[in-house]
Order: sequence, then C-alpha cells, then structure tokens
Amino acid sequence: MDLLSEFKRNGEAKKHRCAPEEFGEVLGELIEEPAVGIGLPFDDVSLPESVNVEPTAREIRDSVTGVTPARIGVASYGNVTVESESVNELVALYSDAQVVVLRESDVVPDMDAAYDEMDAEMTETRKSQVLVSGASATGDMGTLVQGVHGPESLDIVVLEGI
Amino acid sequence: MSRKRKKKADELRRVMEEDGEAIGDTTRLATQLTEARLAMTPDYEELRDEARAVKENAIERLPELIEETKSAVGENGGTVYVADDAEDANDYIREVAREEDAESVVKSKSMTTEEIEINDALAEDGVDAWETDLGEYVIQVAGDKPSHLIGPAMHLSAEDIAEIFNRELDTDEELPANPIELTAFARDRVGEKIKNADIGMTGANFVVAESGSIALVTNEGNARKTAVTPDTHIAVAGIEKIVPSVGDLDPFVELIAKTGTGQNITSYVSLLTPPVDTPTVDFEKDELGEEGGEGRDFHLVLLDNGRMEMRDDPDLRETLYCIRCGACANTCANFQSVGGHAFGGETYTGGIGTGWEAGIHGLDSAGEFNDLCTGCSRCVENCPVKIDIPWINTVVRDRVNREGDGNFDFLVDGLSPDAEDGADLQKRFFGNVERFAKLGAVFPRTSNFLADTRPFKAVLSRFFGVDTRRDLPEFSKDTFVGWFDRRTGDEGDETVVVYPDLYTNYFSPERGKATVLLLESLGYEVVISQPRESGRAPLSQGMVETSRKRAEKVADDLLGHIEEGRDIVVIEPSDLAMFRDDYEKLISDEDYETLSESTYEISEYVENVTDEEDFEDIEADTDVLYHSHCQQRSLDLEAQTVSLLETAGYDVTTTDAECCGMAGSFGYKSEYYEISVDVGEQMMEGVNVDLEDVTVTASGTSCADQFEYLTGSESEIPHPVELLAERLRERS
Repeated sequence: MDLLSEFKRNGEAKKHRCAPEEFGEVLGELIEEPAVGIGLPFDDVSLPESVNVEPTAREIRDSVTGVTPARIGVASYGNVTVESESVNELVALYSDAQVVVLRESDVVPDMDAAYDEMDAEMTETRKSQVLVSGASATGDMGTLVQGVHGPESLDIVVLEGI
Repeated sequence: MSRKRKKKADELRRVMEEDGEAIGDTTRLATQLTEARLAMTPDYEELRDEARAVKENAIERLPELIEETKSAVGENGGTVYVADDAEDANDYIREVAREEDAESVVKSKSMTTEEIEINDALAEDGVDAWETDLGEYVIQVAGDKPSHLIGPAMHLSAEDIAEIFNRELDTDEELPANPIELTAFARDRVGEKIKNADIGMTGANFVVAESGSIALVTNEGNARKTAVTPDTHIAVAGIEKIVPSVGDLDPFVELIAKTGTGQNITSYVSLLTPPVDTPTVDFEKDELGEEGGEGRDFHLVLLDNGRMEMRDDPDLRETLYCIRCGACANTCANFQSVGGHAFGGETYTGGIGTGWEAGIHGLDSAGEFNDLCTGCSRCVENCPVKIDIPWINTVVRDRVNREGDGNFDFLVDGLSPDAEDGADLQKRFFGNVERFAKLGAVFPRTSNFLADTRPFKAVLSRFFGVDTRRDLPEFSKDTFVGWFDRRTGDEGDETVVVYPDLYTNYFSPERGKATVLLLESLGYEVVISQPRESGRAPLSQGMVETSRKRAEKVADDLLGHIEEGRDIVVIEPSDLAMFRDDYEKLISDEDYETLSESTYEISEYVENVTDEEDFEDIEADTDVLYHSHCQQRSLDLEAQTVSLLETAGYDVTTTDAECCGMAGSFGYKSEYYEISVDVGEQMMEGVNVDLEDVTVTASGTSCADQFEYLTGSESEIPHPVELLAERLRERS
C-alpha cells in the first residue's frame, strides 16, 4: 500500500485528499466561520478569504474553525505534527474545530522516521512541535467526552502531488 | 486478630466499599482495552526493548545528561534549577512566583508536583494554585487524594462528581450526573482560571537533554494551554525524566497510551522547546505579543528528592525507568478491588508505587501498602519498560521486615528460626510453612483435628494473623514421598525427575501420584528429587535471605540430576516460576540458566509427547472449567494444559480472571481476607458456565483452595494431571 493510502486509513482524524487546485473548495466545505489561521507555507496553495489570517487574541478565542499547516504526517498512525510557528499553537488550541493542511510529500512511513526528522530539525532550530492524533478528550467524568480544553474535532486535508 | 491487623482490615474494607466499584470498572476496562491493543501491536516487544534500552542508558548517564539539559535550556533562554528535595524545589518556585508578583498559578497534571506538595507551599504565600486536568480539578474541589497515577478521580462516579460540584461550587443550577455536562462545566471553570493565571506550571513526561525540550503527553489539551497561555512557564520533573535526544522519544510515544489506557496514541504529544515562540497573549486586553515569543520566561525544576540514591541502589534503580502509565495498577487484581487510596503511599500508587515511595518517602510509606502485591507477576507483561515490579515489592518487603518491630516471641522463635530476616510472626509463619508442615505431618489426624478447633484457630489468628474464616489445608494421611518410596515404579528408557513440592507432598499427594502415573504411562522412568521447599514461601514474605538459602540447596540437588541428563518436571506453578524466573536473583547466573532450561511444568512436558491415541477408547463427555495460575500465565503456560486436556477428550472452558485472589498465603491473612474474597468473587462473576455441570480443575494449590472455599466444595479441586490420570485408569 502506498503511504498516502496508509495515512488515510489509520488514525482517528477525518482525512480529505485533494489536488492543490481543488483546495479552496474542499477547505470551504470544512470550515465554519468565524475561522482563523495562518498563511500556508506551501507553493500554489493559499487559504480562502473566509479564513482570518491576522487574528487578534479574542478572534482566536472566539473562532469556530482553526486552520494550520502540518509539518509531518505519519502514515502508520494517520496523525500529524504542527509546528508552534507564530500563533499556530493558539489557533490549534482555542478553536472548536481543528483543520490541518498536509502536503503528500511530508508523509513519512512511521513514528520512528517522524522522530528522526524532528530530531534533526529541532536540535538545530529549537522549535516546538505538537503531534496531534485526535480531538481533545477526557474520561475523567465517567465516560469519554470529546472537546475538553482543545478542539472537539480534527480534520486533515492532504494536498496530493506536492 | 491483633488490633493492628483489625485496624488494617477495617481500613481496607472501608476503601473497598467507597472506591472499589468505580475503580474496578475502570481498571478492568482499561486492561481489556490494553490487552486488545497490544494484540494488535506486532512490534510491542521490539518497542519495549527499545524503550528499556533508552532508559537504561539515560539513567546510567544521568549526571552528564543533567549538565547537558542545563546548557541546552540556558541556550534557549530558560533556566534550570536542580532541587535536592521537595522543600528546595518549593522554595525556588515560591521565589519565582514572588518575582513575577503572581497571584494565581494554573497547573497541568503532574505527580511530581503532588510529590512536593507545591499547592500547599504556594498557599502559604497567598498564591492560588488551580489544577486544570479535569480529574485533578475534581480532586482539588473535593479536597480528596488521587487514587490512580493517570486517573486521579477514577474512584468517583459521575454521580459523585455532580454531588461534589453542587456541594462545593456556586453553580447556577443543580448539575446533573451527566459526563458531558460535567465536562463542559469544569472546562469553562478551568478555562477562566487559565486565561487569568500569572504562571503556568506543567510536569514533563520526558525532558530532552540535547535540545532542552520537554514532552507532554495529554488527551485534554490542558497542558498545552497551561504552558502557552500565561507568560511564565514552570515545568517540574524528576531528574529521571531526561532522555538524550528527540529521536529517543519514539518508543515511549508509541507505548505510553497503549499500556496506560489502551488507546493507540494520545490526542496530543507536545514537544515544546521553551520559552516557546508563541506570542504572549492577553485575552482581556485583546493583545498578542511579538512574533518569537518575546517576554516569555521558562524555568525547569529538576527534582532529585531521593532519586540519585535510588540510582545507586541496584534493586530500586529500575523504578527510575517507570514512565507512569498506570498499567501495573490497572492489571492488578488487588488494585482493582481497592484502588490507590489503599494501594498507595503518600503520593504514588499501584505496584510500582512501592519503589517510588521507598525511594522518595521511605519505608514507612512503602510498607503501608507493599503487602498488597502478591507477586503474581501479571503486571510485568504490560509494563512498557519491563520493570520487574514483583521483585521491587519483594525487596521492599524484606527491608520493611528488617526495619520493623519483628513481634519477637521466644515461644515460637524455635519454630521459625529466621529471625535474621526480621519479619513479623505472620510472615515467618507463612515463610516457614515447610517447618510447620513437617511437624503437622507427623500426626496428620491430630493436626487436622487441632487445626479445626477454635482454640487452635484463635492461636493462629492471634499470633500469626491467620483468618479464622479460612480453613488451613488438610494434611494428607500419607505424604507423596512416602507413597513413592514404598512403591516399585516402572522401568523406562528415559529417566525423568519429579520435584515433590511442599504442597503436593504434604497436602495433595494425589496430584503427585497422577503425575508419576502419567509419566510412566508415556514410557518414562520416574525418580523424585529431595522434598525441599523451593524458597517461594519465604520469598513471598520478603524473607529474601532465607529464600536464597533454600534456593541454593534445591538448586544443588536438581543440578545433580540435570548433570545426569535428566529433565525436571514441576507440578506447582509457583515453584516452576521460582526455577524459571526468581532464581535468577537468588543463585549464580550459570546455575540459574542450566536450571531454567531443564525445568518443565508437567503439562508443558507431556503435551508434545502425547496424542489422542494415548487416550483412545475413553468416553469423552466431561466438561471442565480450568483455572490456570497467575505465574503460569505469565510464563505463557496456560495453553499447554488446555491443549492436553482437550487431547484427552475434555471440553475445556477457562476462567478469564488473572488471579483467583488467594495468591499463596495472601488470602489466609486476616487483614487481607476480604480483598481476597472480593477478587475471587470477581473471578467467579466472569465464569459463564454452570458449576453444577462442570468439573473444576486448577493448577495452583492455593487457587484450588480458593475455589473450594468460594464454591463451598466438600471435595478437593483436582489438578488437571489428576483428570488425565483418571482417564488412563479408566482405560486400563
């Protein structure tokens, strides 16, 4: 099985695949306004205008959807890492619904490969990175409840061919 | 029953009544999910080996890694403080709070901050500390104590939590016992605290020396919010949390949720390199700081508090490999009955809690709950870093014995000559069961008569803490060895040695006879080794030196047979576990290896050399309920017995409980009698066949005793080998 199919099959997050030119349309269907995010660092792809890319603190707090780029996708777990670049961490934490955009070329086979890559990068850059596998959840109140301190859903859009 | 034992029994009963149901439901579910998850993880063993190797290396290099962490965090713009003890750590944190003019601190879940009791220390300065993990928040509001390493409020039901919130907090309207509404309520309350806090305090599941990063493993997301919302971040971690590099995190990230909750992975694994680049944020003023996180402060408090001494202690050192996933608590039958309020010390709970408490708070705290580990070894398989938790408990028990007041009594001193182990009379009675058995066997009828009388039971209860509700095993009129010596056995091509364990010899010779018959019918010539107790009894009481002496003698005898080219067949699983496992710690490496390779459980030994033909022409219609033995299961030897019984034409159902609750002497002890029965009843609840329709069989002596007790059976529960021998007899 190719990496992308494996990525799609694994993990809890909902996955959406599209070509870069279809991105605006696919994302448009996923977001609910008010939506916030930061500009994507990928060529030929940008966020639609409905996503506020220069949000204030309160706009982040009051947002429904938060869109951030992914740094790495892990095929064996179907999860992603999100770098704490700029307001990424706040957007990814304070929105109710998290949407992450991942390039197909950033998918690695397994966790071992992902941590080797993080090792190489982080030891150098000293950045922060969060491995995100699902919605914020707790079992502390007697049963599993999603949407605790963080988002109650996780959607991953994979950009094919780049 | 002595006053001390009665007090303990009363306390255990109270905790079992208050917490038992909720704890039992959650831990049993977590264990089921974990086992299913591990079955779906083909590289589980590989990951464990990797994780173990990382920890061994990191603890070995710890002093050097602490220095590396200091310089990496320093380069990143943060500060590292290595605190000698709890007070030192608290003083440093209070000083930071003073400098920041802090009024409130929010915390994510951290056992290490529980260990230093930082909330109380901050309160002395008028600083409010609020827990943000919802379970911890409930505990804080209730003024309670965590009952589990990762599920602090595991002992509370939704009804309990609703009642606590309604009682302790101003709620607009009465909160219902609905988990979704309770979660939303607590999240909003805690969310406000986070937004207004001056300092965010987290623990760290791992600290990376090379990059100065910390890893936080969470599902709720509160640790991330706590770390990045206030401008100042303090992380508190034990020094043992350091690993060399980011690449080393992989096996832990993959394992921790699988063994802890049965999830594949947690929702978030944050790898923060603080002070983080995230702009500072003020929701009140609607302000975001500059890119790059200008104005953020970070303090990493690395706590020693006894850990360096644990590192130098060959028996406790392994404790430092613990990643606190809670699997050892979840899998433990006794923990499932009582939870961490009884099965725990000042801070830490569960099987590994003993190691932590012994190293950090001392033997008094560890001794409070150490006896609840029965050494069944069930937890070892689910430990992601392969810690020998039963051994740590045995060693700590030995130390507690030596430190404690041994209840010396010259009257019984002669009966239990192992005063050098320092154990109290109850432990010496059970540890020296061989001596009592030898005495009792001289006049078995008198002994059995006496054992059943009230005065004798009163003496046993008063001096030795044997519960009067239990009957001691009955002495057989003839010993197994006596029977064997009087008979003329068959000659055979190959000679095999049967180890006549204490229980088979004095109490259940039928299973010994059946073993001999079965082996002879398969063409073996049978000899027996010397009837000596393997050292299991004293080891289970923490009498390590006595056990070692016994082990050396038994090994000597058995090695002589092995040199002659003979295999050793063992009937009692707990003795086999000694030869295969525990002897590694008690005799020389070379002897241990030879012995462990030449000893076999009886079913394991004959399974490969029997087939249906051996049981041909036998009417097969008996349904069997088989209960394996905890240590037998740990050695992966349940399947062989099942297969052998099936070969012999039995229709086999197995119990799915790990432990029957008796665990050798445990269930006889007056303070633990009720837990033992509770664990046993849990097992019986899982049995889905009608006991009227089946023959019950068990491999372990004490398991059989427990079954007899729970079912009120008049007759002795047979060992599977007795059923097989019966078949052979039917044929001849």
